[in-house]
Amino acid sequence: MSDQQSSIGSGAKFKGKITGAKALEINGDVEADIDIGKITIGQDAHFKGGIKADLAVISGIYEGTMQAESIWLTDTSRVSGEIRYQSLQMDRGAALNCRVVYNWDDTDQKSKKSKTKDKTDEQSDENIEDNIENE
Amino acid sequence: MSEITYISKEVSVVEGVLTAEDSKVVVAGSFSGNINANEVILEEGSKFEGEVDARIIVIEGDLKGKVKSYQLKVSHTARVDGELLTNSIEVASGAEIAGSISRVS
Repeated sequence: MSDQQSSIGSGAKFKGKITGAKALEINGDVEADIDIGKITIGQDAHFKGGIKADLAVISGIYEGTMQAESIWLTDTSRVSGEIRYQSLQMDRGAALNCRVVYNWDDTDQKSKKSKTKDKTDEQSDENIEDNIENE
Repeated sequence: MSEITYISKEVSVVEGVLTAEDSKVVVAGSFSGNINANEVILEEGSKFEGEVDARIIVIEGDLKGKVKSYQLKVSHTARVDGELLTNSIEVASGAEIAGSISRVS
């Protein structure tokens, strides 16, 4: 039980501030500001408020300003407000009535570059590992 | 499973108002505010401050505030400080309770 991720069940209503959560699944009605790793807003969920996340998966209704590395809007999602993203996936049927911002600034460019770098790094790491093994 | 509202260990909620009249709420982390549910379990290691109102309440952690329930169970790991209103109470040996206990009128 203790390893279970946090969730707001369907039929539940929540209002408040949530901190420290790594992952949260919402199936109820929530009004909150959240800074989190991964957030899932279920099909019957209604979320109002700000979200800062690494990954946000939205299948329900969202109102507010969301800022996430990666956003996935499924076919049942309804979004209003503003979303800022670095990677966005939208399924056919997703309804957006919002400002959509690809937050391209220096830090993002750096992270892009470092991502491509990571690939070469991985390769070189592999080479190093090979070398170690050879030795 | 999705019916359950679960506040995990690392999570802290402040100024929370949680209503889940038909379902179950489990708190393993820290919660400050009000909970109104069918069943509330405050797990061992949890911290709660505020008011809980539920048909069934199980207290295993720290609680400060007011509790109102039809059926209340206080486990040996519990530390309760406040006002308990209940029609049926079970207290395990080792539980620390400070405050008042009275019937739901």
